[in-house]
Order: sequence, then C-alpha cells, then structure tokens
Amino acid sequence: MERLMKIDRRLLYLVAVVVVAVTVFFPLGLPVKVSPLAVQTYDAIQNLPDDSVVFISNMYDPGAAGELSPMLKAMLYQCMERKYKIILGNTSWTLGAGLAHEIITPIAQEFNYVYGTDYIELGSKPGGVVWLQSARIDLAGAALVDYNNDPIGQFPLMQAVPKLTQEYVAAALVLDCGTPGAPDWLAQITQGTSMKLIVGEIQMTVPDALTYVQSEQYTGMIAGSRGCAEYEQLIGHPGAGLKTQDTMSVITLMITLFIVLGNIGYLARKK
Amino acid sequence: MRKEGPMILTVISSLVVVFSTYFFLGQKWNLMAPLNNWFQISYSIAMALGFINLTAIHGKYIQRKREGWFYSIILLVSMYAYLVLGMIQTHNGLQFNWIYENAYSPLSSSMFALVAFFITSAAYRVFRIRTKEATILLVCAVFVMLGRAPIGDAMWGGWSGFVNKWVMGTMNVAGMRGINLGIYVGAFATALRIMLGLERAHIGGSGTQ
Amino acid sequence: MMWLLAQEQAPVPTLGIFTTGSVIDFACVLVLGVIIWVMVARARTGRKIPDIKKIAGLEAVDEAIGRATEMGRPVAFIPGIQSVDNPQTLAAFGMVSHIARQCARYDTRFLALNCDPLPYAVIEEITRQAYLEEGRPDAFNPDDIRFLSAEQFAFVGAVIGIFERERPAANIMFGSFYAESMILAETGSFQGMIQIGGTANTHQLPFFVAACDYALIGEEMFAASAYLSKEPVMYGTVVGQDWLKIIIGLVIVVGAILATVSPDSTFLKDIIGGY
Repeated sequence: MERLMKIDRRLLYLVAVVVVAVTVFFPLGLPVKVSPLAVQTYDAIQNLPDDSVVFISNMYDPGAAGELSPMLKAMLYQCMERKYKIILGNTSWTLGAGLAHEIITPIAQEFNYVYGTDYIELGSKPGGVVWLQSARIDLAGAALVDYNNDPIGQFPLMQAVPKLTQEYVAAALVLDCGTPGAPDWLAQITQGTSMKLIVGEIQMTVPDALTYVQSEQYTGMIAGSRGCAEYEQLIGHPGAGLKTQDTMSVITLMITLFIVLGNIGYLARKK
Repeated sequence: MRKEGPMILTVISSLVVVFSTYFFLGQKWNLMAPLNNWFQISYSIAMALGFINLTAIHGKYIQRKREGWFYSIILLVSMYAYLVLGMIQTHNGLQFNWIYENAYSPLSSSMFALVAFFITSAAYRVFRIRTKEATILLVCAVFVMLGRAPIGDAMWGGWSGFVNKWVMGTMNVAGMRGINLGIYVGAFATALRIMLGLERAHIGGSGTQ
Repeated sequence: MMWLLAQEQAPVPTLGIFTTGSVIDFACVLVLGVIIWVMVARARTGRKIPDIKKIAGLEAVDEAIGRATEMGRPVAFIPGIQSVDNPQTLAAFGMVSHIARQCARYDTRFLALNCDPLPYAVIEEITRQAYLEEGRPDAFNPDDIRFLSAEQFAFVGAVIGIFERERPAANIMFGSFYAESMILAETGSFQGMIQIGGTANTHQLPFFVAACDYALIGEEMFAASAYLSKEPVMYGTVVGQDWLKIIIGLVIVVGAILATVSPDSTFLKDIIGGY
C-alpha cells in the first residue's frame, strides 16, 4: 500500500498521455452547462450599439494560443455577425500578431469583410503601457503602420477612429495571459469611461480576474477553456473550446484518482 | 559620480512619470512619449548585450569542447541565421514566417503543455492529508477541479454553480483582494523607496542608503 | 464615415491641476511618502522602529546558501522573466545583492539566470560590486551571470538544461513569473534542490507553495530588501507600507458599513471615484 505513495512520475505522465489521446479519438460528448458569467459576456458584446467599433487585443503568444485562440475566433464570429467594425492589434506581444492574422483572415473572408473599411490589423506595437497611453491620445500616431507595414492613415476605419477613447470605440475585447494585459487596458483606457472591457483569460489567471468582474471593472469574462466552451455554445459556433472539454473531464478524474491513491498510501504508512 | 549619476537619472525620470500621470499639464505635454522612446532604445542596446553574452559563453563552450558543445553550435547558428533572415525579409517574409509557424510556435505551445504534466506530478506529490489546512486545501482543490470540468456537472448538476458562486466567487475573491492589496501597496512602497533614493541595489549599491 | 458614440469633450483638469481621477491616487502617494519619511527620520535619530515578523522564506536564504556551500554546488538565482520596469524585478535586485555577497564570502558559485537583457546587465553589475565589497573581485565569474533568452519557454528550456548539467544545490526564484514557474519549480524539486520561490503574481503562488520548500507571498517579497539588510531605515519604509494598508483597511470597513446601512448612498464612492 505504501508503494502507492511513490508511483514513478513517468507512469503518471504515460497515463496522462494515453487518457488525452483516447478522449481525442473517442470523445465522451458530456454536456457543458452554460454559466451566468458566459451569458453576461455574450450579452455585453451582443448589446453594443449597431455599427460599433471594437478593439480586439490579442495579448498572448503561442504558449497560450491553445486556450486563447479559440476565444479569439469565437469573439470574431460574434462581432462579425453583429457587423461591428474591428481593429485587431496588441502591444508588446510580438509573436501574437501572426497568430491573430491566421485566425482573422479566413473569418473575414467568410463574412465578406473589407480590409481597411470593416476591419484592420495593426499587428504588434512596442511600448506596452506607454503605447496604450499614446494610443488614447492619438491612435494613428501610436500605430503608424498596419500588420503589412502600410501607413494606416489611408484606411477609412483608422480615419474614423483617431483616438482609443469611448467616443470612438465602444468596447475593448482583450485576450490576456500576462503582462502587459487586461489590467493595463483597464488602468490606461477604460477606467472611468463608458468603453466596455471584456476579457478572455487563461484558466490560471481567472481567480485574479474575477475580482475585477465582481467590481464591474470588467464587463464580462471568458473564463478559461471551460468559459470558451460555454461561449461557443452561446454564439452557435462550436470549436476547439468545446472539443477539449471531454479531455478536461478525464484528466480531472485521473488527477483526482492519483491524489486519492497517494493519500491511501500515505495513510497506510502512517498506521 | 558612478553611483550618483544613475541615482539622479532615476529620480528625474520618476518625477517626470509622476508629473505625467497625476498632473494635467504633464498629460497635455505628453512627456511620457520621449521616455518611452528612450526605454525602447536602451532595451535594444541591452538586447545586443544579451546577444554578446550568449555568443561569448557558447563560443567558450565550443572552443573548450565542453560536454554538449554541439548544441552550442546549433544555438549560435540558428540565432544568427534567424536574425539575418528577419533583417532581410522583415516579419512578413515567407521563410521567416514558415520557421515561426512550423518551428517556434509548436515548440512554444509544447513547452506550455508540459505544465499540465508537471501539475499532475505536483498534485500527486503535494496533496496529502498531513494537517487540517492541507486537508482543506485538498478538498477545495478537488471541488474546484471537478466544478470546472463537465464531469462535475455530470455527477451532480449543481457542482459548477456551487464552485463558481461560493468557492471562486466568494472565498477566492475575498482572499485575492486581500493578497492583491498587500502586493500593490508593497510595489508602491518599493517604487517610492527607489524614487527617494533609499533603495540602491539596482545601481550596484549595498541595497540601502 | 464616422461612428462617433458620444461628443468628444476636451479634458478638464480636476481641482485646476490634476488629471481626471488622479487626486485620491496622488493623495495616497503623498501620504505614503510622508509616513515613510517620518519613519526614516525616526530611524536616523535612533528612535525605536517596529520589527518585521519572521519570514521563513527569507530566513531560509542563508540556510540554502550554506547547504550549497557544504555540497560544493552552485546557488541558482532567477529574478523572474520581466524587465526592470516591473517592481518585482526591482525587489529581486535587493535579494541579488545579499545572495552575491554571501556567495562571495563563502566562495560558493553564484549562477544568475536571466530572461531579459536589462536585468542581466544590472545583476552583473550588482554581483561584481558585491564581490568587490567582500574583497573577492578575483572570484567573480561574469560567465555565471547569463542572459539565456528573451522568450519565456526558450528560457525555461535553457534553465532546465542548466539544472541538469550544473546541478545547483539551491534554487532561489524571486520576481515576476508566469507559466514557467511550475516547470522550473518541479524540475528543481526532482533534482533535490532546496527551493525558495517568491512572486507577487497571485496566479503562480499555488505552484510555488506546492513545489518549493519555502514560498514568499506577494508583499513579503517587497520587504525582503529591508529584512535582509536589517537596517532600521529600511524597516521604517516597511512600517510606512503597513500604515498605508491600515488606512486603506479602515476606508474599506467604513465603505462596507455605509453600503450595509445605506445601500443607495454613493457618498464614499463619489469622493473616491469623483476625484
């Protein structure tokens, strides 16, 4: 029994790999219950005024793409179905620009969105917090060129949005996994304004972000991959978020089982 | 002047930031913009220093044929080759993007995925019923894990609701707010110590005034 | 084409000179500055300053260095993955100074592994200075202060490799960490290192608490410089910090009472939010 306390970690890893592989090929199809927070987030985006401009900021890199890229995709679907104008960009997350480009391009084609008029990609800009402060005063001056290195002054969408303020942008949708992130958007752009801040968080940062949701500083939040699965159900576009839930369930059971086994061994040794 | 110079620069920069943040004129004059540019320039210079450091260390490993020196060659070749490719093609280049999408991006995602395995082994090793507190931690952890996965709701329909409302929404938020309050005041005090010249560790001082 | 949501208004200064919503923030800066200055003045004139409670993680730093010295293996230090604009990295510099000095004194190898070029440059200078002040400039090896990569997971890969090859006896992680914290802490645990982890990133605290021997939670990090130096002047700044927390706590209590007694009243909210 005491050997249950000392299971080789390589065996744990092997079981984890097998469990994940099996659920990928043989999904369980467990239903995902939608939480009030997901509904709140969906409604916050859905109820923006018609023809709103939204700034979607993908503040993540390939490390967090597994959790946040499905959220970005889902947000783009909802925004484009509502026919919002979209500005997509980030600051300091250089490697996230390419990820966002790969995601938005086919969706924009699907909805016949015209580049420069209906949406624009700013790419990644250096500066972090200071860039946000500059963009609040002069967005064109802060951004200068788009993802393709073309001067942004030529695009009608950027001509219509000279500043990153509540008068021009209805909501900021920020996908956040580190620093700079959503709290910087809150402090520099949306705090004290009518611009809504809706965030997508990786599961690790959800407990911290909940404090902002409760104080209504974040209007909504997609909470980790579970939140993404709920959100995908609401928008009617099931994607990677929903697909991973069965794997989550099985991994959770596996970890619980290992914890129980370890404690059985521990209690047996204590006796 | 070796220590006083950086000290004076630190204090002046701090005062400019304070003035720009809190005072109307500072914001109107946009004093932060040149500071930001100087920070970017100094960051780039420091990045070049980092390149030199990496080259020097791995160059020594290759020269001395230290164990694993072949990997040092791979590191230096890939580092400089990607640098040159990026300078020639910019980030829109075909080959540059190909390497990013097919090498860097999957590698980065895979490393992040390793966290899952380490969490598994850490959970198995650490969650033992040693003390009352450890038991409470264990029970909460299992509750939250099952509440965040659909399997919890499959076992009991109200699981995710209970976890979201009471564990995450009440207990967690209360604890987080307390910890965050301490953190932000602590960070504030650290910044103020540096501004007032009480803390000098960052300029090679003994750490105190 | 214009999608103006509201008429743009020219910004108006609050109380004539402040930006909107910054008066209370600036008042907090002033209050903390005054309290710290008073405490520092008391310390300089030799008056009694309250002590800092025992922080197990900081007490263990010397123990970790001692263990590494006995085993003849290096001490590894990681100052987080953020740059010098992060307060946690600044707090880490105080720790570096102390550890480098101890390592110089006991002739223990000190490995500083950096994810950002700016902290790398600063830590190299701090370490060089520390060795000089201990009278051991010859023992300083600049190759042990390394910049590994500016990319988070490339850095992690490099650190894991160094842990495997150099086999440090002690691993001190002090600064701003993100997803890599679990990988680093677990690898160190497998290697049998004594580990001290400190971060103010609350989402990483559970990993340090689980995998490290000692964990420093949030503000304990920011008190490290004062705690390790044991100087009354620095203690005074920590006392000032605690006083500000007490004041904020009192405001929270008053707000909670007001919200309970008169839920529709926005008196306190208007004062704090309006300025």
